[in-house]
Amino acid sequence: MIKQYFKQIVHLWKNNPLFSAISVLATALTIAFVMTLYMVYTFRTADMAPEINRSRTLYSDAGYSYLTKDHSNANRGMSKSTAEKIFGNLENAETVSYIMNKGEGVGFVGTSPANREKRIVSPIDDNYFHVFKFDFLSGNPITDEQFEAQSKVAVITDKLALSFFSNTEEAIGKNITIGFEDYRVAGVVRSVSSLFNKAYSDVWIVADKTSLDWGQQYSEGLRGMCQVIVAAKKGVPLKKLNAEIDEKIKKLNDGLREFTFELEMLSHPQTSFFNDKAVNPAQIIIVLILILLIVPAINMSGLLSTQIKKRSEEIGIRKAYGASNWQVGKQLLFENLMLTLVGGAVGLIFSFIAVSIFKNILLADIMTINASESFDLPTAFFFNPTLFFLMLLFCLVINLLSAMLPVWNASRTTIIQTIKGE
Amino acid sequence: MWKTALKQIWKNRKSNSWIFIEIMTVSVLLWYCVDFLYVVVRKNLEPMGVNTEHVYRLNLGAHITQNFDRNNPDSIDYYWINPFRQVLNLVNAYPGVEATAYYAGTGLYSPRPMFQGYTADEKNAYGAKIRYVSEGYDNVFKVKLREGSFADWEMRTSPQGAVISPELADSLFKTQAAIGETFRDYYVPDLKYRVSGISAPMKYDRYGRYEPFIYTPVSYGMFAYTIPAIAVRVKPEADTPKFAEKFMDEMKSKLNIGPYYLFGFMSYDSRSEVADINSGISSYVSVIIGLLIFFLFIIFLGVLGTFWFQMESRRGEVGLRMALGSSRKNVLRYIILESMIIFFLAFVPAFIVCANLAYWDITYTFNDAMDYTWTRFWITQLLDAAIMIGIISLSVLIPARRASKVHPVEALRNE
Repeated sequence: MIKQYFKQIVHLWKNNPLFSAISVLATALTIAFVMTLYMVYTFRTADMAPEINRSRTLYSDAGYSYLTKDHSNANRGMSKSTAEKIFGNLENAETVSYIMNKGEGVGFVGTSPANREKRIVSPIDDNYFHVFKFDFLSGNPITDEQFEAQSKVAVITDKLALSFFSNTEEAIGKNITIGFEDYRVAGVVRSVSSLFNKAYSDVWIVADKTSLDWGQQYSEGLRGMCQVIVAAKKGVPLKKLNAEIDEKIKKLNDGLREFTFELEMLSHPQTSFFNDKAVNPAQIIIVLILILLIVPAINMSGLLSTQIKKRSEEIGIRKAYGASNWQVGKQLLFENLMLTLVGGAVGLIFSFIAVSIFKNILLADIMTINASESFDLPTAFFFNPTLFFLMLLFCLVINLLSAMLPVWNASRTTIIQTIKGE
Repeated sequence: MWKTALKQIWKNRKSNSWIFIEIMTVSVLLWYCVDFLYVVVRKNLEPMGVNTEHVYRLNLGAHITQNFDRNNPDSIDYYWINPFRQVLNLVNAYPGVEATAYYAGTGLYSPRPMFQGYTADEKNAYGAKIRYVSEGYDNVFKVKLREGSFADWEMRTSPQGAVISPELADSLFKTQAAIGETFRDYYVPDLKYRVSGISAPMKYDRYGRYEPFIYTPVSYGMFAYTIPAIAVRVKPEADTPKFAEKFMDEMKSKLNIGPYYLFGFMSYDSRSEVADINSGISSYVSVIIGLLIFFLFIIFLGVLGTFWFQMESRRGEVGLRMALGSSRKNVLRYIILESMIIFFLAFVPAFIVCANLAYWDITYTFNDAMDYTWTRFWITQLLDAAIMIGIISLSVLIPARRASKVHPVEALRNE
């Protein structure tokens, strides 16, 4: 039976090349767009090493304080002591990391003041390496003791290590200059694609406590260059964590005499697209995908009806020989499905090519621009079975949407009507 | 001709209804794309009030090795201002440099603006974005002035000179004829200003709106807290693509004066590209353009397919027309006419839907960048219709030409 189906399908395509070509092309284009959108969204939001906790992480903004009575003396910034009051005892949090708000984070790094290059430098604490999972090739991450002691230690990438020293083991314990100060290399990690805008860096150093906290004389001790990354406990929804944080901020404000402090937390998808809490990226992507699936389905419905009309004699004869409505419909659906699957496969390949060629337009942000080299797409991602299954699913959806009405119509026409030639 | 066309369209309504629905849906969706791109293009065409072509931003870093007294002007002079002047002199002497100036406060294409509050009547306070600029700033950036000039630009005079944008003039003085008027900083009563010029409307970044803006001199005290950015205007003939690289290489060691060192040198055009990517606009624009191309392709395929199959089943009709004296050209025109009528019939409901969306403000495009006016609606609708007509005519041409090439005898015989 299946063999018969396939024979008929090949025959069909040979006899109706234009219809087949248009259907395949329309499906390929649709699938290419839909899969590109999906890939862009996933690259930015799915859990991928080193950002393996994206789905349960919240990032703070810079913080904002002002005099309550007239809103003057308004400044961006948050001190570590303020942050500790808010994030110090969260029930719903597994890890809290206090890092420096580094802006574009560019610094001069070299083995001596004479040969320095611009690199991204990230001042962090020890918990940073618990939120992100880096691949340590040699040495160790920054420890709690090193942070408390404010030791001048640094973790560097293997690319940096190889450009300064002969291999990654040898780099451990050696000195590098960052800005105008010497740091000792404590660990070397595998380089990270600048696609990961939260984890990307060339060098990680111990954050300077005096920069994190500007002291009591500034806005009741509220100001500093601190930023916070919070990973929620497994299974805890981010909304719950966010609500708990908002409670703590309220408590903090109750204890302030003259100033008000404001802080907003963003989830990873919210920081990856538009940096705006009002916009929900997931919703937008879903709406876009729906639109992209429905429009070509309308297109192909029309073409399919015309095609089926052409074959009304054949359908009439088959029914005269005892084929049921269901059997006729099944075959038509199957034939259409074959077309959409071919289109889908072509479309998937198109989408891979599109994402690779247009990655700079689709995925770039401030980190990728300042990074020392163009960013790589993790190839493992392309060979992901989820992508393949999604492609099949979308093909099925297009198929059903476009074929439903015409096939139902066709299988319902009575035998007499078709043989008479209506 | 019209009556016949309408009759034929009705006769083929089963086949035409699909393309009708598709044209209607795509007209609405395409309109969103067109509207968004319209705003993007208009915003880019709006003048910024300053000219940044051939202008570079020089950033100095500071390595503090000595203590200095923030409150002692001589200490600030010695530690910060004198070395800064030396740096400026060296930069000015670099071949190809036309003019330099320095500024602090709200940068150009930078993420963090600086605000201050001002009052003219001691009661009402108005906010404005502030830029502290040195003398010669207007020359480097060719700041457009409607009236007045950057006069009284001495750092130590009081009241200080101030150039304000028309919006601030309206807020403070309720009139544009504000030259010579005085006002003060709302929170610092001693800080007094006199309006020496009214600038052209100013925008903080490309996609923002025209806002209240104020330019005042850089005070000595600022040097104790911040390092002003240096703006360098380069002669057009000297501005090559490698200029920035060359400058960095040659000046890196030379600018190690006092606590300063050369941190960065970048053109403002590059800065604005970075700002766009940072805000997400660039990827938004590419997705919308991608959608636009997608919809055009789908319509193209749809109209092509529908009319191709229709023409195949209507060969007899075409043959008959030609046998009765219609020329090939007329047949072609007639088919295109049919497609245009279908389009207009489908566009009417689409137009009504769009009008409703616009009225109830359900447009997701960029409303804080530009007001939603009826002019904008009409222009975008026109553009939408024009694009649809264009793509439909193109795609109907192919089956139409094929049909008009049919030999009437053959067609009639086949029937």
